[in-house]
Amino acid sequence: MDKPRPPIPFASAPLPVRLVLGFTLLAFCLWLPAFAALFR
Amino acid sequence: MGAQQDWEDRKRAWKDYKRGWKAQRREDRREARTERPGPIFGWRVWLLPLFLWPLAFDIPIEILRGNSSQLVGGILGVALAWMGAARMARGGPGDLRAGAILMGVAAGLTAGLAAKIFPPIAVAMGFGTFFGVRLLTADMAAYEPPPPAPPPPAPTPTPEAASLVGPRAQIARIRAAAPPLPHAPLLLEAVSAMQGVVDDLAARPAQLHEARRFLAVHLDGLVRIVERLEAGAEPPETLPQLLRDLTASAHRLRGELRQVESQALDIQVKVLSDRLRQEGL
Repeated sequence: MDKPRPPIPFASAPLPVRLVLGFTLLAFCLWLPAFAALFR
Repeated sequence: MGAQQDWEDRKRAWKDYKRGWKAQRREDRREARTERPGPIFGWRVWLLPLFLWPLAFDIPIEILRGNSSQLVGGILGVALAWMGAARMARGGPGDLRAGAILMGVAAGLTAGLAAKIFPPIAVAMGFGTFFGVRLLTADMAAYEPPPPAPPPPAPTPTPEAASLVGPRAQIARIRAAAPPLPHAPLLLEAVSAMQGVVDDLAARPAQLHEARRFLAVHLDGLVRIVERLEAGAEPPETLPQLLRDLTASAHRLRGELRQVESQALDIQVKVLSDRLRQEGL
């Protein structure tokens, strides 16, 4: 049932690193397109 | 007129039917909610779709402008991101990954349809979002659902009830020790009368303070007498009279307690009837 999944990169990094990286990624890949959609 | 009545009846029946159906559905939903196995990850998960806040402004604008593809992209983005957060909030095994995939798809659609970004880049943004969500929620996968709550502890005795534990133990002790002692019938009679007082107090703990002296002095005294008799002391001649006095005093105290209760009821009845009279009933 539970297939072995590849590990998440940087998942074992310290919490601040994970937070900064995660929020940066979301800001670029999630917020930026939404913001761009608002101003096109 | 008959047709009107018939119509009213049918309308009422339809409304009743609708109400029953709604109640049924509400019940089903509540059951589904309570049967959900996993924990609920709160703000950490619901924060993620909030990255899409510009779409909340964009969607009305696209409605006004009439750009259907951008509108569809925006709505799909918000809806899928919301579904992803809800999926992650369920917290079951695999829900975090499924929710992250939904969020990634939402980001891809937002980028590709709503923002009209070059499609390969939009796909890359979807993957980036998936990866970012996984990164932010990775440590929640280690979260073990808490063990089922332990059964509620036995109700702790109220202070009043707790303060009767000592007297009850003393009474039990006297009862157990009395039979072989001299003047056993009188001892048992006295202890029965005291048992009656304690039972009354258990039923009306508000009066406990009035009987505290009785519990402290009479019962303690009786325990000491029993201890001395057990140790082989010769009972003095005044002991039977004392035991009779103790019995009588316990009976008197019970009577007083009952009287206090009766007076309280009297006052209550009077107050209520006065109030009724004032209100002109």
